[in-house]
Amino acid sequence: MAASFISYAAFAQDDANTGKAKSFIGVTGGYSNLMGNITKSDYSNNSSGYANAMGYNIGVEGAYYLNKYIGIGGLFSFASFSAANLQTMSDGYKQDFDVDSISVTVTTKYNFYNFFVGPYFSIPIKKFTIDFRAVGGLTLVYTPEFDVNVVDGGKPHPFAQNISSGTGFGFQAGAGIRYSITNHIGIKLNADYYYTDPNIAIQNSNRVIVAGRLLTNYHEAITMLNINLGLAYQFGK
Amino acid sequence: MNTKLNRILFGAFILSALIFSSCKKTEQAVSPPLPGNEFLTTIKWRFQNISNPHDTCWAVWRDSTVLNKPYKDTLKPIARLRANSTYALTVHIYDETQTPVNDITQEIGVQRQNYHLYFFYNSLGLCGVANQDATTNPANFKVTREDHDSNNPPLPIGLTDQVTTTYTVNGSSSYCTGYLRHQPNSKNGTFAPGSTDSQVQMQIVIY
Repeated sequence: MAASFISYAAFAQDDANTGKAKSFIGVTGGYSNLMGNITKSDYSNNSSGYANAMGYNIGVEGAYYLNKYIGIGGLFSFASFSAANLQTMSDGYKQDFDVDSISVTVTTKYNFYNFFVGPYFSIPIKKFTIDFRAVGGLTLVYTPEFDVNVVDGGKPHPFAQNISSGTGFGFQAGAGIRYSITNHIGIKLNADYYYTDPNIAIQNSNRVIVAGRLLTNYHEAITMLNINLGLAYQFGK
Repeated sequence: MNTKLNRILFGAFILSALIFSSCKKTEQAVSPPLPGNEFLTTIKWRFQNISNPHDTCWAVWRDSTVLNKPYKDTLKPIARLRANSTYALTVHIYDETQTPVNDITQEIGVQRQNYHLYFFYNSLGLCGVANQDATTNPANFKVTREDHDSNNPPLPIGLTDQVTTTYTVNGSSSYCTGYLRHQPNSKNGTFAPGSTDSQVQMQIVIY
């Protein structure tokens, strides 16, 4: 797993030829901690998302520096979280349908795709650099499919909350420290706060009657804390 | 040296990406049947003549296989109705294994109305056709359901009905069978989906 936190990023070391910080491109990845109602598992509360708070993110980022400290950068990242605490959902449906048994199965995940741009500010101190960034843009969110099998009198009556998607504005802001291993390669550690508020139209299939928990729309603020390691290639000398 | 380091680090990243992408885990929760579920031990049909409220009768059926008490008055559940009359019929459901007796009528007719439907089927001796759905305009003992659930569109429930009698019948071959169908995520107004929670046979005398 240690390898999973290694990413390929490049850094804004001062380029002796131009006087600008070095532009870079690289990859990043690490642990994501999801927060907000999406992680709740209260059956009777439709803002509950049944998402696992622990997940991961990976991404590609780059920045072009205008001078020694300030640059414009972009980030394309992907974050993923499994479903969790499904027992309350299963028990809730069993109560609401008054049946012999219920099973809830989830084989897909909450997936977040982010396309962000924004300013980078870097302070080089010898081989170390302290970085600050605030990027924002489009977020595309996919919800997992919840397959519910209602069994009564030995007969199955299945239905599903299908994979659904929505878009919204998102942003990520954070700080990090990086260390230059060689002239072109460096590693870094970042911590970022992430926010998005997507509007997701939830699709359902085979809901024959009006009973039990039913989501048709999910519009909740979603936040997460990302702690990443990165590896980068920097341009210039 | 730098090239070798680059390759190692890049390879480590590719490997980690593959580990992440292949980590597809199925989450599942199961709620199994619970012991000690409630029994529908007692079904009562209450008839009240629309034109004469004093003309009221009860037909009561009890499940003797569950209830150990002797109920001599309900060994032959019989409803005595006048011919050419219209009656308001209400179906009442109880669990008499509980103390005090648990009236389940409201629970089924209100909280769980969207997946329950009560059916009435007439015998040959009652309406001239064997096993005829009493809501489909039989020659005698016609049932019209008057309650509806909150499904979209609303579907009948069948616990509050109106019964129209036409001609006189008597005898053990004149009866109506009531079925409480439990149709979770499948109720569509027909008998077929789901399973039967309760099945009772009431003798109908029309004089």
